[in-house]
Amino acid sequence: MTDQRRPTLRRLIDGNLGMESLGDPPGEMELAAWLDGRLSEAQAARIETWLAGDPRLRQALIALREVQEMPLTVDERERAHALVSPYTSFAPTSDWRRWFAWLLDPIPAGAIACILAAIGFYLGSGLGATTSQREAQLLAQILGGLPLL
Amino acid sequence: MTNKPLLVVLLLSLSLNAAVVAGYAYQRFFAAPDTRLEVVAEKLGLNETERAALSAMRKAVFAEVRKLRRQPAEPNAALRHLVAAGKADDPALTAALARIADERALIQTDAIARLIAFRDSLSPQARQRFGEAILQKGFMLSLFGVSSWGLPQAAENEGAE
Repeated sequence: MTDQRRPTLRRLIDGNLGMESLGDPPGEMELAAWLDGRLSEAQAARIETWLAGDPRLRQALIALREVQEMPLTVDERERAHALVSPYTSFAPTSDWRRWFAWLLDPIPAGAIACILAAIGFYLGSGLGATTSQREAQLLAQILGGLPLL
Repeated sequence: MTNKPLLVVLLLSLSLNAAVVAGYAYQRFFAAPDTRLEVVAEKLGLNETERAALSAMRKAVFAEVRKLRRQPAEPNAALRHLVAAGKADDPALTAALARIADERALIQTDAIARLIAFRDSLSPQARQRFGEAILQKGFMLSLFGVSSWGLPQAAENEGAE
């Protein structure tokens, strides 16, 4: 076997024979776009051809499907954002998420809920007292019209 | 996208709103006994049953006042318009004033009737004290809980006068 034929043998072993006309294999982002249905018909056809002939790509597809619905943590979101656009920051959503992330923990959230409840009770109590006072004032006006008082 | 932040904000909002409603309800319906009631009860020497009757009488009278406050605002707005642009002999103005007087007279009649019923429910000793105390200016209003008669602050004011 000559050295010129060795690349063909390699492609045969890898199962990619005849797929070089499709260009580079699709990356994870392209695959994810295909999963989301955001590719044109031609782009989708290229991905599907690659999928038919590349078991590793199919494996990547399975992995993507498994993580597709998983919620991302703040850190994961930042890393994913940096991966696709390394020259832009994650701000502003990242900033407020970072600053207020502690609010999502049960203990601080519970403490704030207690404080808010105390403030709310105080406000509601004041509102109730004001309403009672107005009723008392009205009754005093009405009964005050009686000369025997 | 996780919904946890929205859930936390929702829970915080719910806790605030529920607490406002609870505070309002507590103050309106479950608040500590009015000190004025204690002063009046002490003055008349009321027992627990009579104190409860006094409290019930107050609540009944205030229920009538609440009904008056919850009336539609349109008649009052009409009266304001009549005062702003009408004439003194306008029949609509006379009718509006008569309506207000009638509403107030109904509450006065109801309050006095309840007061007499309360008096009749008292023990002879308490009824005698009632008869003496009711002659004092301001005591009747304090029976309904709308006067600070008998409280230390009121006593100081009376002394200053």
